[in-house]
Amino acid sequence: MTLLTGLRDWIAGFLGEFLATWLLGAALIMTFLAFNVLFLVLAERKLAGHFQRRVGPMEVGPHGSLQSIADMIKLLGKQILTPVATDRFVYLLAPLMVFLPTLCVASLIPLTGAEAFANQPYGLLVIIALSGVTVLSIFMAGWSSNNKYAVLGGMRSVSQVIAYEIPVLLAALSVVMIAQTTNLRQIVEAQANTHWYVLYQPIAALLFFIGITAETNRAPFDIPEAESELVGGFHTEYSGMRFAMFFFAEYTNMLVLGALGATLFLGGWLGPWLPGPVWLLLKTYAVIFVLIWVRWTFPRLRFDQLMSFAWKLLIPVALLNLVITAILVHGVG
Amino acid sequence: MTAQTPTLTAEPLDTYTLNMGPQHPSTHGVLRLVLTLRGEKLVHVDPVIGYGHRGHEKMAENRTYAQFLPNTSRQDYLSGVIYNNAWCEAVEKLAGIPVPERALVARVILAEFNRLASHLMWIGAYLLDLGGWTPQLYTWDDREAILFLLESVTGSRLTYCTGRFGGLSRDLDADFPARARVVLKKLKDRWQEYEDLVEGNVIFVQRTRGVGIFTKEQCQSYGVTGSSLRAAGVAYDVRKVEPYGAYPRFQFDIPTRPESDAFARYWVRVQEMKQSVRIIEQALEQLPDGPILTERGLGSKKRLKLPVGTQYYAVEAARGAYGILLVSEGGTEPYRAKFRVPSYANLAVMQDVMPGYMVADLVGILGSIDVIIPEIDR
Amino acid sequence: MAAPAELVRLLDERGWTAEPPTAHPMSGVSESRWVLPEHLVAAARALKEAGYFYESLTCVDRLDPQGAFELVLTFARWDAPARIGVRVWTPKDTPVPSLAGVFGIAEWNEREAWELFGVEFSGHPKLRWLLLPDGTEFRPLLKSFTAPPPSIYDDSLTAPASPDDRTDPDTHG
Repeated sequence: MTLLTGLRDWIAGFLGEFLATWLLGAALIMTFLAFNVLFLVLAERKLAGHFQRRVGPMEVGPHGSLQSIADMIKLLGKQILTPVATDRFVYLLAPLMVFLPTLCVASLIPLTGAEAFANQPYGLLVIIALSGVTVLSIFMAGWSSNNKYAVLGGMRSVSQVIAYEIPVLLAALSVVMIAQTTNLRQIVEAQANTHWYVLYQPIAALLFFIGITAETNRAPFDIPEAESELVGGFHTEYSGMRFAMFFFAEYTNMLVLGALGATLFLGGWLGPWLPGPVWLLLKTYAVIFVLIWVRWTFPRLRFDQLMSFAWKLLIPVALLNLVITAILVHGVG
Repeated sequence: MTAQTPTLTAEPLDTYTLNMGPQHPSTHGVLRLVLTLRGEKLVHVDPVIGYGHRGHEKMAENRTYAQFLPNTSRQDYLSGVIYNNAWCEAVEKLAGIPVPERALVARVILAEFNRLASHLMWIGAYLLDLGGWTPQLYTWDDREAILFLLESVTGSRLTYCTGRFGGLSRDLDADFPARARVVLKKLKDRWQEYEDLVEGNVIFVQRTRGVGIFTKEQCQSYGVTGSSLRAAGVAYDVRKVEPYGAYPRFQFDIPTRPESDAFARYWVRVQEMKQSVRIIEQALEQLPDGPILTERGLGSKKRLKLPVGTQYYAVEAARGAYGILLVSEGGTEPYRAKFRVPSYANLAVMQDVMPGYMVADLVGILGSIDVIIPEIDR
Repeated sequence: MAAPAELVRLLDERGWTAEPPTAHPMSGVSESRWVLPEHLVAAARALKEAGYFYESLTCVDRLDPQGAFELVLTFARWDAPARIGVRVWTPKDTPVPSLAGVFGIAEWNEREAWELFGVEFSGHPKLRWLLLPDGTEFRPLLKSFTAPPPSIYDDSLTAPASPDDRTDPDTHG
């Protein structure tokens, strides 16, 4: 920490305190997220391999551990194609934009009780608002590609995220009701006094988990990019690093929403012996492990089934859960 | 380019055309479907085939009967043994060539193993179509064991060519029954696992129940055969209705199911695999000793001249009724050979069945009938 | 009614069948009859009503001595080993009535016979290429066709496609 503080002070010398903190924070987050994606891609492939009774990548590095670096180099070296009939400006903007909201959200997750890049009193609401923006860039990508598969993928994505934002929000709200705050740091601190909220709100935790599976477009909710139907979905026309940006955003989104889930339901940084950020990371990766597990186990839902599942089952259950929580919190005390 | 593609003026404004294939992850080969969609609903489906047309029927006219043998397993590459046997049996029937008992039973054993491998591959590929990745690796693992077994007899893993007029070119090894029983044991241990993995899966059931229903009228009008027909409640199986080869001496049932949806087709195929195992077990028991081939070189150009005649010969392939119509004018080559392939009818019925479903169902229905495009294109 | 022998007797009684134009025997079927082309649709309808399904259509290019096409249709049943071979003899330039209105699969089978042999089917809804590329002008399964198979890049044998057909903006996707 002293190293970081020193670095910050040094930059502050010519940019000012405020900018220096933010620049350094952004650089740290970016670096961490990049490594996280490399790790998650490898973890996904290895885990998928073992779920499928094979070994996964084994060639590059010991036990295939450098495989994702090789992948990244391959993607960097690929030609970036821009189809002629695209809406060029939007087409180029979409892969850049898809990454921004997740980056902002990542900076809002409290790492420890003392240190956080941003301690927002309305942190939770900001996160939920921002994570909805990702879908905009997915739709931009689908629309501007001027490809019917991509448009279908984009449209599916929009309706899916709209449907699944609601149960996520409602599930988060029931946590807010217990903690009596939307400040993420205070939510974690509230869990230190009692138990983890997953014990008080098991239904909300399940709803939240299903919701984030849908929001990260992962199987069984990977309908916007359903390979056997829509080829590549919204990113059909993207190649090389532009495709990698979508890929990057998907895994980053997994991390961020996993971390949010860990914060809301699994006590965030709380835990014995180990430092707070390590606990948070462990819990996040536990959530992500389940996400990967689910992906390699279930077939894909059909689009209309997905929608009726959200509107007819998840949202009523979430509302009911919210009402019961309200009665318990205010009536019983 | 084609008449199937509606022009802009002919197209109502509320629908649009989506060109699925010939390069698409789930069209099982080079099939092109020109879809007319309203939103995600299918209004019209027009299959465009012929991308893999190799002219097998013309080739047959320019080769001797024996020279055409390797072509047979390249029509439906997943039931090569069955097609290979069918060609041999059609020629034997027209020429009156006797087949030793051992060869008859051995053909059944190889054909049923081939059917098992084909169905296992289908289960994996179908789940992949529905977005489930993992079952594929499990079924292919089992299929691998069968392929090793077939390889030890035929020398190939996909395009088998062991059939000869009057028997088989290679005999089953002495330890073949023992090895085959190991594979069967492994398969039998797996049924429960498949059922839990697939039938116990809520999403799979949701995706397949009530999807892609064929009426009996449609089946009759298009000549649908195979598992798709049996899933519509019709117990039609060439092995039972017109028993050929050594089939009459084995006990087996024809599983049927009345629903006629994709789930019924899945269920019927799994039951068929159990019946195939049953047939193989009996065949291994009854495998007689003796020669595997009546006489070497029966198919050579000098010796094989078929009498004048038109012969229709039908067998039950993995996908349905496969028929060979062989016209001989007394020469060393067929005058005309026509192949009635099951997938042809099973795909053609799609034009009638598909409209009204969603794009996601299209993949689920197309996968459920188990089409092999190269055999349609021939 | 359902038994093949009774069914073909019915066809005979109604005068739909013809004398064999060639002494070529057919085996592998329960019964086979030569049906007059003008009664083909009626015969197919009778077969459908009796519970038969359309199994296959084979066209044979008969060179000697008449120079005609022989169409061999087979119909089979689901519940019994009954297969009926319906054979039609037609001069090469005379259209045959289409069965597409009776059996759905006939549409594809007839398209195939048309593109590979040049058999004309009257009343077919869409007599176009099925297996061969659109615009193919040769009939590969005729006995007179002995040329090496042309490459698809060799456009000497196909009708020239108009340039705007190739990039139809509505079909990409």
